[in-house]
Amino acid sequence: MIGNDVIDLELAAVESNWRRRGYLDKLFSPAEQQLITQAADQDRMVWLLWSAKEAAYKIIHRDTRQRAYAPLQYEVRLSGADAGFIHYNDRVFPFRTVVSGSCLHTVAVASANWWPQVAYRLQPAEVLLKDEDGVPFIQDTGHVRPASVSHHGVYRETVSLQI
Amino acid sequence: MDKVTLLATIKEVVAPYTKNPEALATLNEDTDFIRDLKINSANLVDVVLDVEEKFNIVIDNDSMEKMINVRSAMEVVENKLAAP
Repeated sequence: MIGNDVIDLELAAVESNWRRRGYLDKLFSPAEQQLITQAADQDRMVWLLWSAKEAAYKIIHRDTRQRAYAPLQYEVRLSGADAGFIHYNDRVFPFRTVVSGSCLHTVAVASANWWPQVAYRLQPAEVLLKDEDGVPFIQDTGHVRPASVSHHGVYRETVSLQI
Repeated sequence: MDKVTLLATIKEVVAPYTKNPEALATLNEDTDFIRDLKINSANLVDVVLDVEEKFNIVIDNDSMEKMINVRSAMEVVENKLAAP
């Protein structure tokens, strides 16, 4: 399965003051906070880690249909500058982040086997649907495929699995 | 604290983060922070921190997990205020 999250870094800089007292403690583990402290670009690291948690939450929500605001249950570990794994209970989701200008976009998949199947962007013939829980799908000519959609500020990203 | 005051205080707390003024105007116990008020998920933690400051309580992670709508936010505050 698939989940994504997009962050408009310019808007985030105005909208969120992650330096406020207590903020990081509610969202990030001590290990994650250490990644932020050590980062050359701390803002970028905050939003990279946060987007990874959000992307993984979308995979979990699709599975369980349970909504919860529990960011500390998602532990992000980096395996490179812009990739890594999100640990949630006994599950591990790989993710990749691309930053282009002030658009930060993270995609997570249920397992690395899914990467070749990921389709970025909506094609002209495709229609985005949501079920009663707000879980998105893409309908093309033949069938319905799992999708994830995210928008923030001036950016909007849709990803889907070609299965 | 009575329900009316509690609801009004929650409304005051969420107002700066709300992107849907119409849903704020008609805010009630069923109002969802994300779906109705369109609060950004990264700002939901600001709501939690503001509620903590406003009511002088500490919201643990298990309670924060439920704070996605007005009703559960009110329940969390009531439970914390009632705790010895």
